[in-house]
Amino acid sequence: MSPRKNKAESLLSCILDNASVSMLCVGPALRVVLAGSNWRARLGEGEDEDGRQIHRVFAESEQRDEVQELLRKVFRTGKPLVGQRLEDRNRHYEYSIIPFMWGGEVTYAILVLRDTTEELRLLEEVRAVQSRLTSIVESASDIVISLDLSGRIVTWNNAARAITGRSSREVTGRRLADLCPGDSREAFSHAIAETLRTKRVGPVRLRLCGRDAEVRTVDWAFSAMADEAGTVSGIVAVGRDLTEQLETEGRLQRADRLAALGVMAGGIAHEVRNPLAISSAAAQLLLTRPLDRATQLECAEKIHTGIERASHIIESLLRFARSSEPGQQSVLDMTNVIREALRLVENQRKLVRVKLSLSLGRRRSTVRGNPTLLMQAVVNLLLNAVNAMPDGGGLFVSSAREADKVLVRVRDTGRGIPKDDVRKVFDPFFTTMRVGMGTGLGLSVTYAIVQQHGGDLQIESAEGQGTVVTVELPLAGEKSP
Amino acid sequence: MRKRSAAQLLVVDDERDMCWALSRILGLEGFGVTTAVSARAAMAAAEKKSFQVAFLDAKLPDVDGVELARRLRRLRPGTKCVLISGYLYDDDPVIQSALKQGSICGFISKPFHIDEVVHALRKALVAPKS
Ligand SMILES: Nc1ncnc2c1ncn2[C@@H]1O[C@H](COP(=O)(O)OP(=O)(O)O)[C@@H](O)[C@H]1O
Ligand SMILES: [Mg+2]
Repeated sequence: MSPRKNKAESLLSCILDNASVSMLCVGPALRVVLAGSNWRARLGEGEDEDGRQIHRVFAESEQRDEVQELLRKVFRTGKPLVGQRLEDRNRHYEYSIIPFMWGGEVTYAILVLRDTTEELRLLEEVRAVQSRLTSIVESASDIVISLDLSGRIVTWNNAARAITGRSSREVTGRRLADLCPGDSREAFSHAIAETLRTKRVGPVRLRLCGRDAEVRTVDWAFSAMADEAGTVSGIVAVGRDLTEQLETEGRLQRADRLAALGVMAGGIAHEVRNPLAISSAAAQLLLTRPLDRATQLECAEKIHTGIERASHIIESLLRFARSSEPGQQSVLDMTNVIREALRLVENQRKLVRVKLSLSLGRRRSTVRGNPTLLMQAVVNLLLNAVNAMPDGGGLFVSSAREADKVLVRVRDTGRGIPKDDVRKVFDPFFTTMRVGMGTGLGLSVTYAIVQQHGGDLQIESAEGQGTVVTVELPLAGEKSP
Repeated sequence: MRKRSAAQLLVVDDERDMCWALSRILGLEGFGVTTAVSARAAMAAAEKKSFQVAFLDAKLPDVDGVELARRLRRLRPGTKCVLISGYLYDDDPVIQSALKQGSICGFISKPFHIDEVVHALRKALVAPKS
């Protein structure tokens, strides 16, 4: 070897040893001439690549022939090859082959290998996280979509596709507002503008065009998507389709009303016919019988009370029928409602010798609601309690304020409710009363009324010992009108 | 009618004014009328005295009218019962079977014409004892 060549070789070996990549210098016979220290580091003790056939160096790799082939090609053409991939001894490499020209011909080829194992592993991890995120978004039953800053759709999940019947391809790049019925469009654009300003908007109920020109009602939550620096890059919109739920709720409410009206109708027949019969009989007596002055007055009085009673019943029916109107609400004291309700069931109570204990809290128990309905709810509970004690007993009625609630409790020492029936007592038409005596709607109606007033109702019962029904209603502020 | 004026009648209705109306109508016909506001009170009255005819409300707080008719007639087989109701119609199976069985001999629905009451009373008084 000439001294110049020697100098070049030592320069080469210096490069080979110090680069962050591994390098192998290969001669025309495809034997390793020099191996950089990085590459040597992967060898076992006593091993040496120098002079080894390249084919043997990569003996364990499936791509050994390919490496050999490419080296030959470089020697032949003098053109470098870049970006090749190789797997060897469980590590991944990206390699290039650079020809080393000397005196017009390729004297060496340098195999530059970059270990990408770690990089690939990280990439794999990123991919796994990404695909998990994607599958979360894709399997969500809520609409999850992302929008760019101008409100145009960037991503669109399965739920969005199922609900709207439009594929991701159809909608990408379109404005979300354009997929809404006319009356929701402006609100949508407004919500998006607000999100960019305040970062978070919702829930807002907006309508979306669904499959087959159906309109869906969706509750949306919008949030701004910001990168680490806080720069907003887009908007995420999550929407829950409430269409079916709202329909069911509507149906249930109508069913409640129907059930309640059924009770009223049943009650009406009986309740109105009595005062009518009394008035009518009294009028007929006046008309057809010779009566003394005192009896005449008595008849007139009965007619009057009868008519008043009948019209009072009609009035409460009307009030009940219109009870869903907010105009019927007022702030009232539950203790008055309870007193009134007790007056109504007094006869029944005394008939079966039920002793009443009343404990009404001293503080005003004000609630916001419809007085007729609330009274009906309490009357139903009182009647159930009295009916549970045909042989007499104790009826304990109390009202109390607890935090922001008014608690009304009706307790009896009656027959109680068998364990198996406790769940059924709220079912419309469930009754253990004799045919014609109970409609089985009392508790279902009471429950509906309590719910309508934002309250709750609990029932505890021990068979043979008695029953406690607790009604919780939200306390209304004294100052509110 | 006059010679039967000793006949005793029972009116049972949980509605006091209803008892008032019936006892006026029947009283004006010349009968003695006892009133009761529950089946329990009615049975107690029937223990003490026998009634030729009883007018019973179908829907009483303790026992229903048809059942009360049976009990009254078990106690006093001669008592004729007329059912009065604002709840049931005369084509109701309960009424029909009670009529057929003879536990009641008449039915009046509320509101009624007072002549219906008088008529039902007369019919009951002449009906054969069963
Ligand atoms: N306080 C109570 N004690 C015992 N049983 C009760 C009580 N309240 C309700 N129940 C049971 O629940 C059933 C349903 O009550 P409800 O809905 O008011 O209808 P109804 O009173 O017409 O039967 C009653 O028939 C009875 O069996
Ligand atoms: Mg009830």
